[in-house]
Amino acid sequence: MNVFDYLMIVNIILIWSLLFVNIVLIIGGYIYYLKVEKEPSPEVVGEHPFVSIMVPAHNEGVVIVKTVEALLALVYPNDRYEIIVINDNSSDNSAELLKEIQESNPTRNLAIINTDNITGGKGKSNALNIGYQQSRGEYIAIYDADNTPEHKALSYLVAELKADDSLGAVIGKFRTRNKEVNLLTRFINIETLSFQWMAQAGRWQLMKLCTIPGTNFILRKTIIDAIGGWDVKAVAEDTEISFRIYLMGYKIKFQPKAVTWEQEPQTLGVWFRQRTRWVKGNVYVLIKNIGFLVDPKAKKIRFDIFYFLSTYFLLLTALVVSDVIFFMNIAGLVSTSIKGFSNLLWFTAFVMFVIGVFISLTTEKGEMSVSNLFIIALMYVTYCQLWIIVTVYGVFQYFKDRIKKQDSKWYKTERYQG
Amino acid sequence: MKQIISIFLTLILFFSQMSVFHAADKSPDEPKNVLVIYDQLAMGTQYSNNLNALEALLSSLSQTMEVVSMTEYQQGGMQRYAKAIILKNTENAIANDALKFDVLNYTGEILYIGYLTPGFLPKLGGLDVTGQMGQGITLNFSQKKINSVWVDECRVINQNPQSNEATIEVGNTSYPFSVTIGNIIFVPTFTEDDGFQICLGGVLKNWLTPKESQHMLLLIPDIYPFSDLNMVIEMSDAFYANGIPFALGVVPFDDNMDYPSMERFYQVLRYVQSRNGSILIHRPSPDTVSDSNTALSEKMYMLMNTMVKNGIYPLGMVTTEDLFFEDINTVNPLSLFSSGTISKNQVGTVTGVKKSWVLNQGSLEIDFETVKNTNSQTRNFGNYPISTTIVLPLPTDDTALGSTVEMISNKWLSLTDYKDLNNQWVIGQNTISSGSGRITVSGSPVSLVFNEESIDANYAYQKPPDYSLEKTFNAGNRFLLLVVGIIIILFASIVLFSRRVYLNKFRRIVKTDEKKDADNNLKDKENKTP
Repeated sequence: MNVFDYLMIVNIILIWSLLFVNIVLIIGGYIYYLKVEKEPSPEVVGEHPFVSIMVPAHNEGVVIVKTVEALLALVYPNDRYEIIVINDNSSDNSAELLKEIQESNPTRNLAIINTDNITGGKGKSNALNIGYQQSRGEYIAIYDADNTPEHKALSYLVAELKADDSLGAVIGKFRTRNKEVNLLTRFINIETLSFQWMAQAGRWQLMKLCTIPGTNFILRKTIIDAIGGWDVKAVAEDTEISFRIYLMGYKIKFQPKAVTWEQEPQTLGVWFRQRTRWVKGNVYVLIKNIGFLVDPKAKKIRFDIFYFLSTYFLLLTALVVSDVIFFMNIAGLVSTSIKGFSNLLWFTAFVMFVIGVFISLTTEKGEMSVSNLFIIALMYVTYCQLWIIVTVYGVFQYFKDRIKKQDSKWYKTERYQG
Repeated sequence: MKQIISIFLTLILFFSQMSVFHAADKSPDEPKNVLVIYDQLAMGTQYSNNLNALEALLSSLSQTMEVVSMTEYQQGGMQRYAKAIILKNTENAIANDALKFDVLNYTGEILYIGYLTPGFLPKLGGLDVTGQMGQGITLNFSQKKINSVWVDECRVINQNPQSNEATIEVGNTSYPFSVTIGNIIFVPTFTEDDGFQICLGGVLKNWLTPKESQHMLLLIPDIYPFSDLNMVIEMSDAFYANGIPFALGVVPFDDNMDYPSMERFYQVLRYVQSRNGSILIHRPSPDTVSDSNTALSEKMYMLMNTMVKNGIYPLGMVTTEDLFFEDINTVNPLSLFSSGTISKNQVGTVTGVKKSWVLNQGSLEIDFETVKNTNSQTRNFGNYPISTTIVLPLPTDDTALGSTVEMISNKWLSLTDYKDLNNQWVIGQNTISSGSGRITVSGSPVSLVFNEESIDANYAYQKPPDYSLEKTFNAGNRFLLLVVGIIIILFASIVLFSRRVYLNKFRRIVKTDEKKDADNNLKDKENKTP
């Protein structure tokens, strides 16, 4: 037994442990789905609370009109919610488009905040902080600029939050609007569904844990007041705010009936840059909060920190190291003498992966198809491997920025017409 | 007195050489001994390899043959042979009138195997043959017994067997394996199973070569330079210490002949010879060696000459039946072997006249497992009714070797030293012969005493390292397979269940949508109505 043997054993244990954690989450998620299906849709009891919907937008002229129109059409008393669009240092025609829509809806609570490169242009967290200064609602809802929420999405979120004081935030579900465009958007569609039904619904069902997804969620304004706004250094502000909410003793609930449709990257380059930002953001949050892993007061977020730690460091390291050892072994540069598992086991694990992911698709109309089964199988050998690359790259970029003492840049995802 | 003894020995040697030459001189054009007529190969049944099994038996009995199907048979074909075998693998009727006519008028001897066809052989019409589906039967022969032979459909002749004849035992009732009525021997059931082959081999031997004696050989096949040569040495020592003669089937290599690893291999083979082991050569497949038989012949000559130069004396050939028949005459020096062992094909047989080279000393290959499953009623195991070669794969470790040696010793197997058989092989100017435990090259006896030679250690074969934690990983593998299997079943069940949920949910939505559409259409119509 040499050092590479021990490394391989650790890797094997890590990979299989995380695989089983995710299997448990899949089952938990499905149980939650069945539960939600049986329950009636949540209704706001009593007076509707006033809600401030904030939409940070940077050069979103292609999609912003559709988003604001969808927000204006929400089934919620018009006088009980306001829409604050933070047009953050845009150089396109967003300002004109927003002005037009504002003028054509004079009776509605629609506020447009235009920032320049002095006040704005510093990322989503900064834009949210600006909008938050003007907000009047007791609840704050956030939607990305490419979102088309379904009519009752806000109503469901508010109903859940109002009904339970232990909740700090309620998150909804997001679906891929442009899934039919190409194979990449189909992959993303499957990825988002499985992530939400496994990581969000599964964690909620089993541990009463969720992570704010960045859009289609609502939270109490008192929480933002208490934490002093969004962390402007965090490029993954959603994860960051989730941790803060948990540390305050609140829970975050997943309500899948509150649906928004969003546009996903249609090219590999855009996807790669967006996901690199996510990875960097999550690594920032993880490192910032890693101390809570051993803090007895932070019991609630321990699983989440461990989950992120295992995904971005342990699993990633295990996959990369085992791949490197595998190829070095073939090249004769190192030698391992451990037996390893059979190909049959790896194949059955692959089958398990495909069926497991497919389960999350059975919850959505039109997704339970044979073609999706094949796409999942294809994802395993393509998309999942790309994720490894993007994660390695993101982690590397994060540490590079830290060493060079550069602030992480907030990459704005490119939008498409339609 | 010494002069008399030497004259006597010379005479013996002379006559034994004569008999070998006689066999080796058989030309391919010599009349065939047996005509084999079969109805169908019966692919997909337990009889699909019966023709191969029968051919292997005839070859191991040094018989030449012509094989013809019933549909191809032409009138007068049987008359050219004194003996004919009819193999009936199916119940189908026989449509060839010429065959029916010839069978009825045939004066030679017939061995009829398989399904009876009414009226085809009137002499067998009086037999009471019954069939029983799916039977585990016992075969008894030569005071031996092989249990638990599975037959999909066992046909037996309802009559009491005679003493000392081979029988099929179904339940507690014994039936004769074969019956003889006039010039016809009838074998109702035959499959390629070793037990059936041995029983039919006994029938064939008495029918074709009743005077020949039987022998039993032990063969360790597929030995090549990268086999576990340490195990080969250990096994040789163990067999030698227990008085077990054996033969190694060596896979011929024609590349890198001058490499130290090859020299080491030859050294091991010389050691094997010194421990009472004989060397046989596997017949290479033309597909893997060369598409030209001429090239193959050249390579084989080179290899054989190199082996002889290195003090290794191959005495026979190991081959499958198809390769034996296919090209044996065109691949010198293989055609110059006088002995060998033949195993039945695992591929479809080729029909037609078998222009075979006839082995002087043939024997049928059987698995070591068959010997294990054979119970002898006498203390000495004795021989099977036909000459056999027991095929024993090289033991994987000391435990396997120990149990093999123990098994052979406890069974009291009467194994023959290959060198005791009269073998001969002509290679170029040299003729390798064996008999009475000696090997001679062109008449001069050779020493099999082993002298170790130093070989460049840089080329020492390194056994690949044993995998660490092999047992742990194997156990983990099984456990994870079980867990993953359970999860897959669980997941699949969830998918099936969710399909029902899915259909219930979305069918309802579609219906609601349809209803809404219908209502809207109705409203539209009402609006349009003046």
